[in-house]
Amino acid sequence: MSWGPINWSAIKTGYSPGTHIDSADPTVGTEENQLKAAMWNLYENTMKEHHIRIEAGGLEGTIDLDSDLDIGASQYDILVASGTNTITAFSTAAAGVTRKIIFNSARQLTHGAALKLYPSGNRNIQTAVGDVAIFGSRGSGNWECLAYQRADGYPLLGEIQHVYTSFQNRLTVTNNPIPWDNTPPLSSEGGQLFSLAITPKYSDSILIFQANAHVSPYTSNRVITMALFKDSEGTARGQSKPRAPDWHRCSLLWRETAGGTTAQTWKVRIGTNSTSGGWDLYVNADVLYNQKGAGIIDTNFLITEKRLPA
Amino acid sequence: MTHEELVMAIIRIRPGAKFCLSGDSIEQGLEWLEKPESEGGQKRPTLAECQAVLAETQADVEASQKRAAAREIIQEKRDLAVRKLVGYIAKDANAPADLKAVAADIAAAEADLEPEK
Repeated sequence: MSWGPINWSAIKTGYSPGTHIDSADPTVGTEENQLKAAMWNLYENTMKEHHIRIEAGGLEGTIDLDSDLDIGASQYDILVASGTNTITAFSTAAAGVTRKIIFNSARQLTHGAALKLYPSGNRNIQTAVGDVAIFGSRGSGNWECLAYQRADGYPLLGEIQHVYTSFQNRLTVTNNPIPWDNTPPLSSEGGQLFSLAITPKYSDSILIFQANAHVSPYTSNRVITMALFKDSEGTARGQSKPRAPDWHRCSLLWRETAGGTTAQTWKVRIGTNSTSGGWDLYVNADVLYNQKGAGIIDTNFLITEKRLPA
Repeated sequence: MTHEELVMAIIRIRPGAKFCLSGDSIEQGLEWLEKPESEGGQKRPTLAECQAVLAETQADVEASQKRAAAREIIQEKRDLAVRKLVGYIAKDANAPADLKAVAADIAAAEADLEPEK
């Protein structure tokens, strides 16, 4: 049985003008309307008695959350929300009431006792146009965010994104060592192997850096340094220092907090130490510059953005 | 120009210079690590300079190869002439004794050079 769209405010007054009832005017055919209203009351009470909810399927409304936080009182299950004020709580609604909210503006949802934001790992959420969330009431003014889908498809937790680049050609670094000592490498030392930009989605994300390179030092048993630099910083953030007897695979694993959501460029520099002998270093090649690896060698740089629950 | 050729050219143009070359493009792949010229560093080489020195190197190689070929030809002809002279001297009863002795020595040595069977 389909009841079609329902005017809930009419039901509250004891009368429903649903489309299946011909007359919507209480002044016309009063006796008939009273009978219909009685039938509605009987139906509504029966549904309530058996805890059956009357679904108003297909209906979508709007709400300005800057002036009205009573999403539970709305007759609509789906609400397109406007406004930009920060939200820390919704108005009290009966336990079990759920609402799907479609945000059409950027605003902050603040995690707290009255508004628990589970999908973000109990962090605040910055909404964007088109984001969709499902909120469920626990009664007494307490709401839980049960699901949140960003319109751009990125998740709120887990592996957010990764950017990757690889180097299949040859690289030669001459006469510019990276010392093997207890000081951090400098951007003026060695040669640049990679430059890769990433725009983190969340400032509290973790960025994980992985770099690999196949190298030949001109003089065997040199210490090879792979160093990680951010933007135009002169001092390395991280490094690895394997000793290379000959053709060798160097790797670097490092992590940083994103610290912002604007674009940042990360660079990998590489070089041998400055003890006696040749300082030259060759990537994807032997000491005579002959290319090795057939263009499918794993000299590469990967940045992964991950976000864990707070 | 290949990576090898570019590295060779840069090393030849700016001996001892610090640089990092990635791939086969001097415009896009050369990170010049020298200090500024005002501080005593060497000037970044241009592609034209690299091409010029490569052409020069190739000319040197070609000249060297030409000289080696000429030496080979001269040696071969000289050997042939000596063999003929040795033969004439050996047959000439009026040839000076010292020349005959030299020709006999050469003939004996060449006999030792007979290919192994």
